[in-house]
Amino acid sequence: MLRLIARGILARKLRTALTSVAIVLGVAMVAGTFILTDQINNAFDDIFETGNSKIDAVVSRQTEFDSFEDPSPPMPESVVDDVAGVDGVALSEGQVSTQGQLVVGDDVISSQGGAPAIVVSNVSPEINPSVALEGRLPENPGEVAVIKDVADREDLQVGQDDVALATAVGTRPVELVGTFRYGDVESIGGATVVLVTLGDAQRWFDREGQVTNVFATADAGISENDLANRIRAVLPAGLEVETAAENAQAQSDDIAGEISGFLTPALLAFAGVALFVGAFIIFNTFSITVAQRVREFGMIRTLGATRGQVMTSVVGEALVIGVIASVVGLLAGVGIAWGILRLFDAIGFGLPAAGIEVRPRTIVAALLVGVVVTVAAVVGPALRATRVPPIAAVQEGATLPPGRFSRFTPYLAGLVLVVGLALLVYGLAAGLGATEALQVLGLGAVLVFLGVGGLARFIVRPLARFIGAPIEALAGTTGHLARANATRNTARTAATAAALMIGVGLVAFVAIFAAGLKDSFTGAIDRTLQGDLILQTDTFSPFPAAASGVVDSTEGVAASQFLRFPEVRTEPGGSQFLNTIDPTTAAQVFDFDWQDDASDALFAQLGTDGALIETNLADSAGLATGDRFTVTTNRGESASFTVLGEYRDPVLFTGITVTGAAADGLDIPGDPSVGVVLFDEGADGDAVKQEITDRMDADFPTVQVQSNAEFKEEFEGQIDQLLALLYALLAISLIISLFGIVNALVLSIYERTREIGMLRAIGTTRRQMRAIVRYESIITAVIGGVLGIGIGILFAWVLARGLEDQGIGFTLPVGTLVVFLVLAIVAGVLAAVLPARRAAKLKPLDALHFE
Amino acid sequence: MTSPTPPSPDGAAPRDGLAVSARDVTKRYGSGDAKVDALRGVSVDFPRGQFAAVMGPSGSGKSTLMNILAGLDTPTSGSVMIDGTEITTLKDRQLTMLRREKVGFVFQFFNLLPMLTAEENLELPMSIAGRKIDPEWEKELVGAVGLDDRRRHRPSELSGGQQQRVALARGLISRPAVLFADEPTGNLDSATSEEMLRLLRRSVDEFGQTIVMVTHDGRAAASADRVLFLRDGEIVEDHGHLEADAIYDVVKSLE
Ligand SMILES: Nc1ncnc2c1ncn2[C@@H]1O[C@H](COP(=O)(O)OP(=O)(O)OP(=O)(O)O)[C@@H](O)[C@H]1O
Ligand SMILES: [Mg+2]
Repeated sequence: MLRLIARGILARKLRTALTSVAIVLGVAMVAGTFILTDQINNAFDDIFETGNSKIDAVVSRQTEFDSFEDPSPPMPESVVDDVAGVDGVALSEGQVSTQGQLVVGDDVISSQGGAPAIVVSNVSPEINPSVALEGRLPENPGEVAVIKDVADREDLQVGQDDVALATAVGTRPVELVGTFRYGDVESIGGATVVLVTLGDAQRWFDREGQVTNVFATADAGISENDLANRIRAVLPAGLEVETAAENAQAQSDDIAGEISGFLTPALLAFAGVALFVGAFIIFNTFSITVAQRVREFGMIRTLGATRGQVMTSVVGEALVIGVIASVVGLLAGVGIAWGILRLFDAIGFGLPAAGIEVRPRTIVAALLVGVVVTVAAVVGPALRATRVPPIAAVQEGATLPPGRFSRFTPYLAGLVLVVGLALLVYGLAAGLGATEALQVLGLGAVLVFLGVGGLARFIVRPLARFIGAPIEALAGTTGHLARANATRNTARTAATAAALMIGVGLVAFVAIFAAGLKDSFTGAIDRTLQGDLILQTDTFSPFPAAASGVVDSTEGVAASQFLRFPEVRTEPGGSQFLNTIDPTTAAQVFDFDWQDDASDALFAQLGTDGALIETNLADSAGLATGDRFTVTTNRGESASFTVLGEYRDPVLFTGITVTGAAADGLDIPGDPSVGVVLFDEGADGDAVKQEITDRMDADFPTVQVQSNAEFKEEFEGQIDQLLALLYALLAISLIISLFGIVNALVLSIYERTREIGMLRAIGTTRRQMRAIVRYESIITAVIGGVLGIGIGILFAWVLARGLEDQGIGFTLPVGTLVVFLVLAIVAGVLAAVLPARRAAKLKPLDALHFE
Repeated sequence: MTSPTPPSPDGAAPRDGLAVSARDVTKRYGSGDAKVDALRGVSVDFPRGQFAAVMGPSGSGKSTLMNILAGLDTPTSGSVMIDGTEITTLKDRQLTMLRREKVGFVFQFFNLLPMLTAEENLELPMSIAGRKIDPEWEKELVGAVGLDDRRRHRPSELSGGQQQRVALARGLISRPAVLFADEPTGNLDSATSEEMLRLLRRSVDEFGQTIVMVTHDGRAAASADRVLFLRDGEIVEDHGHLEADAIYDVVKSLE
């Protein structure tokens, strides 16, 4: 039996190779995901460990939760002395860590791939993880050093005289005195890291008399734990102390949690799609070959093979293919990891990555997944092979007996489809948590694909007639033959097309969903913002509050709003955005969609005790006008507000809207994330915009000044980048399904050798032969494309309906979908290249001899 | 009545008026120890309107000869002309064009396309060549092979004999200079075979068709105007019309 399996694989090398590809790529995605996320985790581990290698304890502010706007809240500098006074502390030193960007000439140096731009104060050499490489570290006011990676990337020279730092008090010229590495690394994930003196950091970044961390080392003989305990005893409320190891671990865990909570499952989901497509192809390939080997199965049955042995021979072949493909996939995973990293880089999510390490977990997962998927996909065809009777050996043209349950497959597929649709609806409507909802939706999507795949063969004929019509009209007989070939085995064509359908379906889905997202966002801006300019940084991080002075002192500005969107926790309600506005001009600058009898008059009544809430929060938290609720910030400050009214805006002002004064009372940092500027009536808009832009460039170069249209365009551009990433990740599945088409065509051609010979004998040219194959491929691909786009539309529509509350609409990007169809045609042409060549190479004579 | 020497037509004689003409055709498969000389210098002419049968023991080279004459295979040496065109030097495309114009085929396995109707199958040589079908001729052919009421049927809905009749009509639809048939009755029962042979005979008599037919069946060969015998890659006997009994005698003598 083993010999038989080995022979089978060797005899069908091309098919085996093509089939393997389906699994190789999926497994490579799985392995690549693990390899990549391990690399990233390791890199962060290294960074945090070396960062803390010379200290024993770290004091920082206790936080309720992590905040994007307020990553390192400050504490009084006096804590440094409090700690220094603790018995057993050898050294205590404060540090300010904040965000600020380097400016060289007129250019703001941005971090790579959305990494933060970190400004951090220098500390004594005894505890300093940073080591000067060129020049030295800053010692005197006005001196800075930059991390090696940035110096290299931006070609900075020590002593260069056009370097400045964008600070909270405006752009400050600085002297570049050195470059450094941080611990052992010369780059922290592409982040711009600038070292300054503590005094400069405090002065420039609104931290007078404050530090963000206090580092301590222990006297000889005192353990880290002991030291931390002693320090804890003297710390004021609201501060915490960790040992250096705990601190490093906590930071790594944070990152690891984010990676394993988001990045890994997201990438694995794409790997899952690839494997799903691969399973379709393996199923299809084995279905075809089992059908082609009916006589062979009959023959081994006459020689005394049992059904079990027939089963073993088919499953065994799949097992061998699965193992080989998984091993190759594991190796290819290294390449995939590298590729994904580059991909993230290219669209602006730079991630640090340590050296490649293939953990046992990666190996086990890759091999297991590959083998299990392959074998599982083959069970169906293998069972059918066992139903071949011995008599088939002697029957001319014996065909595969239908499966025992074949009568029920359409009903079963229909049922699966219905259950899938029901799950989609349930996942969106049942108010599940995000993770469960995603799992339910994912399962629903899989079932919809399976159901449609199972039913597809009933619509292959009409679809092929429709798609083939223009081809037949243009190409005549070759087109007719192609269409006839595509429909002669509808199950085969359906399965081949279904593999493509999955990839196209998901691509269409994200494209349509993204179009809805763009429309809802730009629509919200048009509706809500009455201003003429929008100010923000390229990373959406806060910019200095002082920038508002520039706007307000510019001639031609009627009103401006500088908005903060800190995350807060509410009781009831959970995590929410606390939108802060200036009530004096809010009615001019914003157009709120008031509910019930709320109106612009409410702005004036807000004070520091009133709040306006978005309808989603009102519904989910059961809040109504007149109710009171409590808000807690990341720094642990709390305040209660009275609901004055409700508005609907699920896109821009979700959650709670209060005055800036109320936020100040909560100790929320004053730096805004977005500015909205309204011009005077009759002002020369272009001139005002130009002046604000020029003045921002001079003092606050990180602030981007954009018209509403430019801002919307930028947002759309960001969505497009994200789309490009998703397309790239889905491309693997599409490539796999192309191989599926290639494989099915090659097998069909093999099976039709004699026919092709006849066609050639009676005057079909090679070119015509290729065209016949190509058109069949196009028809198959377009069937997959049409089904996929249909499913994509369905998914996007269902999701848009489910997310209506979040303001997400449904928009059909017709142009994009047409492009997808054209690409399906191109895919068909590409998939046909090799099979068409094989078909054309068949000599009429070979074909006639063929049995 | 035996003419033991293979006819060796005068090389210098004009070869027009001939549907097919072969000169000193050899075919060698493989090399070294494994080499097989399937044809060892065959020269033969088929005048227009002749119905020739090629016979011989299994492995004698019948199919090889026919394939070479039809331009489906290339000889190791020698020359082949179809309707005055030397074909051994033609490229694949030119050969394909020549087959479209001048050659028809009937195969042992009927080789119809299962997804096309009988009518579409029979029109295939014309439609694939992008040539106009002469409706009169098609009607006559369909009538002659008796498939008037089966035009819209698919091959799977036709009997073996009916399928082979479609194949014959397909072979004739382009009015080829020569129709090659390799064991066209090999897969048919005797009654259907006879029907088939009557049709072949009729196409020669009524339409002046040239036919070269390879067969193992003496009764099939008996409907031909000429019977050739091959052995070990050479033409060993070349007769005019022979009755079945006489053919069996020759076959016996060759074994
Ligand atoms: N492609 C090939 N490669 C090698 N040898 C071949 C090939 N085709 C035919 N032969 C050999 O050439 C010889 C003639 O074969 P051919 O098929 O012409 O015989 P045939 O007379 O048609 O026999 P049959 O009556 O069995 O069909 C045989 O010995 C055969 O083995
Ligand atoms: Mg033969």
